[in-house]
Amino acid sequence: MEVCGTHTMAIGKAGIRKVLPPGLELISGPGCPVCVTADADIDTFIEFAKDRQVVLATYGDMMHVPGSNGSLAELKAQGADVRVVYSVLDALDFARAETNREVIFLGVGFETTAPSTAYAVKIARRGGLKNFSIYNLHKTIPEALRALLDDTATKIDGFILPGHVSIIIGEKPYNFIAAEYGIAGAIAGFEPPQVMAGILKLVRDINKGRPTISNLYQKVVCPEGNIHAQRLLDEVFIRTDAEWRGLGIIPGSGFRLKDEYKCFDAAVKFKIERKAVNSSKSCRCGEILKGLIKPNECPLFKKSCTPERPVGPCMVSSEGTCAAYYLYSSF
Amino acid sequence: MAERIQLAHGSGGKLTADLIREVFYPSLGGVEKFANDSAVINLPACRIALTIDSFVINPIFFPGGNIGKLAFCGTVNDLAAAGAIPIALSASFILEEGLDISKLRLIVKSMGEISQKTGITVVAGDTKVVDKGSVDKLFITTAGIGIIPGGINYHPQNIQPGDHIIVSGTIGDHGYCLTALRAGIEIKSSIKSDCQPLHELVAHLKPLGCAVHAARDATRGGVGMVLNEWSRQSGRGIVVYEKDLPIKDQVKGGCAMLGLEPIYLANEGKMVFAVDQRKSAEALSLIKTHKMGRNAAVIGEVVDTKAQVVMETEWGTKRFLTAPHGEILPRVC
Repeated sequence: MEVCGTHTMAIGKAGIRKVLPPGLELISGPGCPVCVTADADIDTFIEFAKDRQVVLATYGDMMHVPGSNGSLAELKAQGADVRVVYSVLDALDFARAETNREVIFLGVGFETTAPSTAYAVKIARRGGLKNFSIYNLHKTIPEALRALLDDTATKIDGFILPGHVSIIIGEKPYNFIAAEYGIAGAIAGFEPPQVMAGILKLVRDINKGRPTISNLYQKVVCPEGNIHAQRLLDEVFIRTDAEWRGLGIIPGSGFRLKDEYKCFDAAVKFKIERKAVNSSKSCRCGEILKGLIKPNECPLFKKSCTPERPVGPCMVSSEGTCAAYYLYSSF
Repeated sequence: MAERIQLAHGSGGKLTADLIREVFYPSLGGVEKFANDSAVINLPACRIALTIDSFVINPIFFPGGNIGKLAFCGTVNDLAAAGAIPIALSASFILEEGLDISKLRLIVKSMGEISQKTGITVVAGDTKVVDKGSVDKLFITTAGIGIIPGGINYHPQNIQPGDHIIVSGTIGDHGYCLTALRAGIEIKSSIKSDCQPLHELVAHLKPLGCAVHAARDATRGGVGMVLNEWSRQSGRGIVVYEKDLPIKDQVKGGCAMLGLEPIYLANEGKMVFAVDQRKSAEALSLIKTHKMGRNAAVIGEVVDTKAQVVMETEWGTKRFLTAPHGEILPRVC
């Protein structure tokens, strides 16, 4: 299983599936932040954006995720102030420039983007910013991998581990995969030869019967990760349980702002109730995220669910498994 | 304090007349020459190409050009894509109340400069002013007419299996440059918009006559969109060779970082041609003799399959190159 959405896209773009020998199958995991965002969270941040005093700043691919009643893009067309940013620091700039508006940043992403959110919150506190808050949906990868391995329905022989996340967390957090579950893992880069090298390493490990966690992306991934970023995360956040679309609640897989930073938590500040949502019954994103079925086994795929009119988040994000299959796989 | 556009500048009274005389006439003399409700041009009996395009770009100034130059070149290139020799343009300006007049001057001046350089005159114009907030600074619409020389007929329906697909230079420069600017990312790079008029480059292919089957400037949606449209319109398949795509290293690297694909990014000075394969080498060398075509390359060919665009990747695998979906949005990790 390639865990990371960027790997999913790289594999699709380079057509790697088509050159693998029989018996070797790549399944796409839950490593696209958009895809694993729970429906209840989507509805909640859309609720935030309806407030005309609010500027909602978000990374681009959250714009089209459909909630129970429309997406951020649709809301923007109705006049809501939703702005796409490349960096949380842009959201801080909005807050400084428009002190009469509340700027809410949508903290989406894994360990890769969580440190920059932590940094922004720290800066906001230091600068005494009163009109900046985050809706925190950051999640952690190793806990999700454990949940997948604990699920008896999944059949995973090895993991291609996410390059970007590993830059932050390093190698150690993956050791349990080999030690406790006897499954191989390889941290790999995103160029097609790097992905192929990851696959080869897994196959060799599996054939030898000696699963290890190997780092094939040493150019950028240090064994200990980015200590500075890890310290930032520890300083601002504490671990909490988080709901993943399709995977349910995963213990310890989320971040919560520490008490001293609570005033920057949009959920606390605005007391918007997060309501449970029944996901569309026919959308099978959940099983796709676990690698139990392929996108084309979902009854909605390419029919009522397309990149133009996505039903589930896996079709929205350009890194989503369904979008990757839609774009690249039918060859 | 900066001189600013007021609603009265659009009232049709003295301020309007002053604005036209002081800002537009000095750069766009053709409008003054024809100062009448319509410009009247004598043309020989021939086939005429007519086109119109609106420019609503943000930011209005960017490395390599501004909205004025873009509005001029965009319409010239639309005419060129029909194989036409551009004759004259008209331009309509919708100005936002409060617009800094010195900026407007710069924009109109750059249109004047390119008009002088190309010899293509703006013969008719219009100005309106709308309330602050009703437009973003200014919108420009340009329309143009051109004459299509005998023996030229560029149309996607002429596309045949075996045709070679040629692109006139590096792709994605304009889109990359603007996306990086919009994102507020301070990327130290020498990439500028490729905004330039391509009518002369296209005219270089005139000796090949009907061997050039189709031409299109790869603006919104980039080369990927052009090829998908051609495939649909001609009912033929198109194969693209990834390794042959001319893309600047900086654009390639920057796009990887921003989560974009150069093949879908807008160009404002690149033409895509479908050429009879027997004349393809000649076409390529003719394009390369023009200074705007030095990096031209054959990037693919038309095949006798159903209408689909397939990319042969650098790794020897194949995938579909679909039409871009909606607005291009960056990814999160």
